[in-house]
Amino acid sequence: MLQRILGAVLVIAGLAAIAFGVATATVLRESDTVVATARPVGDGTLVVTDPGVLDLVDSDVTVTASVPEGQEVTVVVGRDVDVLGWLEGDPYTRVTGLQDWDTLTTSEMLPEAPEGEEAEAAEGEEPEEVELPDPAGSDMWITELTATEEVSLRWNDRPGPWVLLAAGSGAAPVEEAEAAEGEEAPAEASDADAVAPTLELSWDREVGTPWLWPAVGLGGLLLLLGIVLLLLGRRKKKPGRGRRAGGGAAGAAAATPGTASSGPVGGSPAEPASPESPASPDAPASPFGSTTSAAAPVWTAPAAGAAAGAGWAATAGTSDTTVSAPVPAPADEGSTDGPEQGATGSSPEDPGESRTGTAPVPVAGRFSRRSTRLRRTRSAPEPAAEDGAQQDAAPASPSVPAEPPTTTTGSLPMLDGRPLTRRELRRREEERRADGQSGVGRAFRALTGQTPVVPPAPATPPAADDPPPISGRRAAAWRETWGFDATAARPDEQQDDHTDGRTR
Amino acid sequence: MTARNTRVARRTGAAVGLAAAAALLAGCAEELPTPVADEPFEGPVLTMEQETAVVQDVAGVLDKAAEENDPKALRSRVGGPALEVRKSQIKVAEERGDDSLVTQIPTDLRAAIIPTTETWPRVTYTITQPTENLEVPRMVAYQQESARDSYKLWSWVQLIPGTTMPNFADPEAIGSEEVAPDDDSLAVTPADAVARYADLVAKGTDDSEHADAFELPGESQDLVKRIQADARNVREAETFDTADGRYRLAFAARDDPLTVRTSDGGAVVMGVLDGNVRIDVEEGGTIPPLTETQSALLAGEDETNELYVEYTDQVALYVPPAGSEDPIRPLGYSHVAVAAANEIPKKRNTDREESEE
Repeated sequence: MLQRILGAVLVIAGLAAIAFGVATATVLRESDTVVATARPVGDGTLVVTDPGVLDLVDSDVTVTASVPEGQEVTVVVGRDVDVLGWLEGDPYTRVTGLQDWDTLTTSEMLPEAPEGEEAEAAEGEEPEEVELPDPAGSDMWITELTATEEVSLRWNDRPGPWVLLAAGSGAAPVEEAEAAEGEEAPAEASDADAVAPTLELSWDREVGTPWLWPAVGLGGLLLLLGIVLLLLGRRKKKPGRGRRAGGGAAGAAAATPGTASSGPVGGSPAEPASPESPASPDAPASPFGSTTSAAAPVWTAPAAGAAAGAGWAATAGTSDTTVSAPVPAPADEGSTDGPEQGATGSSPEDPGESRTGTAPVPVAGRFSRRSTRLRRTRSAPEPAAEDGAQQDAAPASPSVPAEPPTTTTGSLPMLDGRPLTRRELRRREEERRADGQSGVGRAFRALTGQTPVVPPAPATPPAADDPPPISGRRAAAWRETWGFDATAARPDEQQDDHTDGRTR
Repeated sequence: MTARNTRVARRTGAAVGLAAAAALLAGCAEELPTPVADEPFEGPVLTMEQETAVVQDVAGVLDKAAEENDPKALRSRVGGPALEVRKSQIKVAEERGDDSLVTQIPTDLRAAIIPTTETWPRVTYTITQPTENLEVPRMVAYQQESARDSYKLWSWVQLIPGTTMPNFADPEAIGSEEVAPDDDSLAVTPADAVARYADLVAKGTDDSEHADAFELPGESQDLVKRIQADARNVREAETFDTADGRYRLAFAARDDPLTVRTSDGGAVVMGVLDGNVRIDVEEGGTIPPLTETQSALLAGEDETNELYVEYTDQVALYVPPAGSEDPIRPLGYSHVAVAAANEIPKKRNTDREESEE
């Protein structure tokens, strides 16, 4: 029990880790772009980035400088020495780095020599007095852009401490004249409003997904571990209960489908219908088919009267477990090739599979689920079919064994090599159900969404040849149950034993 | 087995939990990068593109000023001696209605010499291709006086034919060092070199004490030969003696020449000489202007027995490094009259410790 809890925890943890890994690469993944804004401080009309700020996040940066409506803004990139030399004597806003991912840190820089000049600049905007520093037109810049209100500059970093200088150069209109007059535009009344531009730096950033694969890998590992633990738990359980209960918790879980689901399988004729046709052609080819068909009649014959002859699947469909149970079992037995048959016999649903696993179904019973389903679908038609003829058809298909549902039931009835009585079956069914409903196994299934794991090969595959006595006993029981003459059934029993032993 | 498994499982579970927590934390808190300034710039302060842009821009201004005969238009891109000379040339061109005497400065560069100076003023040289009518290449100096100034044409010289130019450092990778006018890593400080050259120009190789320090080009004409030849032509004119004529000339160097170091540790100095020529004859005689430029500068003033012409001469000298036995070599010059008068003024452009004949 504990083991299974642990297994479940591990499975959950594994899934969680995988989910986390995937999430880091999707939902939790950080944005591919970083956009940071620098707000100017102080009275200057200039904003300057420190060396290293332009390539802070990535070597490609897009700088957007904006000023209030109607004003002009200039952005230039130059060598740090040049820009600082150019700045001499003017207050400016210095951009020193990232404060957080959205904001750039800024600080106000005042001219070193606090002469009257500074006071003048600080008081700022005495219209006629102030000469706006305008970097436009200098020979020193590598790049220079001027525009009204907003200018956007792409800069691809190159070696060296490049810095960016942005300047609000006041009212825009007289652009031509200003340009012609050189870099120091004569102050105009409207220039008094000039303000430092707001900078917005945006980088593309490479966001790695460092956790994706580690997390997924770890999760997978945990998942695997959990599954193994669950398996071990199941397997351990089996010896104690497996034989009698036909699969303990797993069986219980399966039980639900066993009763209910087997119904749907066989019950819905529509579904099976199509698969059936392919099944029949296979029939002749398959060796099993022949054997089965040969054997099947023998077994079914007795049951025929009970309409079981029409098809085990059919009975399963009717959800009459008791009836169906015995029928399929023989069917299995009929096939000489125990394991293979078992595989085919394995029930469609996982539960069924598991059950077969615990009980008689041999290793082959754990073949791929798809084939199981295939079989199931094929088996389905049988219910519709009425006669022994069908029987031929059904078993005919080698892979098909229409028994899926039956297998489930088929495995159940065996107790000490003898079919269970109706009463026994019912009781066990109840047990199983109760068990399944309350059992941890069920809880697991709910948690993990996994069907019970198929246990490894039947723990102890019984010798191919079971001691006759057992089969004898079983046969006797069967005969007893069904009121047949003991001697008449004898030969078949041999066969039954054979398969039985194997399947078990 | 169960117990062990349990323990293992428990441990594993704990580990998983920790790992997940760590992952979450790590995912949330990516470190903010801090600015890291690259290595400081070394090398040229201008790229070749910028240099070319400067040259083009200057040429544009020169053209515009010449077309419009507007010397004021020069100011944004021309300064220093070049401005004086150019103004004069434009004025002369206007007077003559012909701009053939305006020095062309091609924009096709044969070489650029770009400085590494981080402070101001900064200077850059260029050497042009020959002009369209195959005049000799020019060596041109541009100066940026302060950080907020643009590079301005500061001076130019016509290279003396046959001159071998010294090598400069690679202008794109290394850049050239500027040398202060009083730098003593040279055989002679740049200022002294120009001053001595002025003396040589004024006095001629025979009379100047500095003649030995210079290696004048053998066949081609340099400024010294040119000035002396001009003087000789006048003095030796037949009527000049009979008219009791005097031909006096004076040259003086201006301070603060531009200097850029060459690969061999020497330097190329671009300096300016103020010069004037005073000619006078006996009373009653007249002296006609000797050149078209002079006549244009006189602008129709009456001829008198005196003639005064001022020159602003731009010169380029190669000065070898200190300790070298090599002589100073003139590389080029530009000899342009910038003023003329029909009387000799008391105050002249060479007024300082003037070396007069």
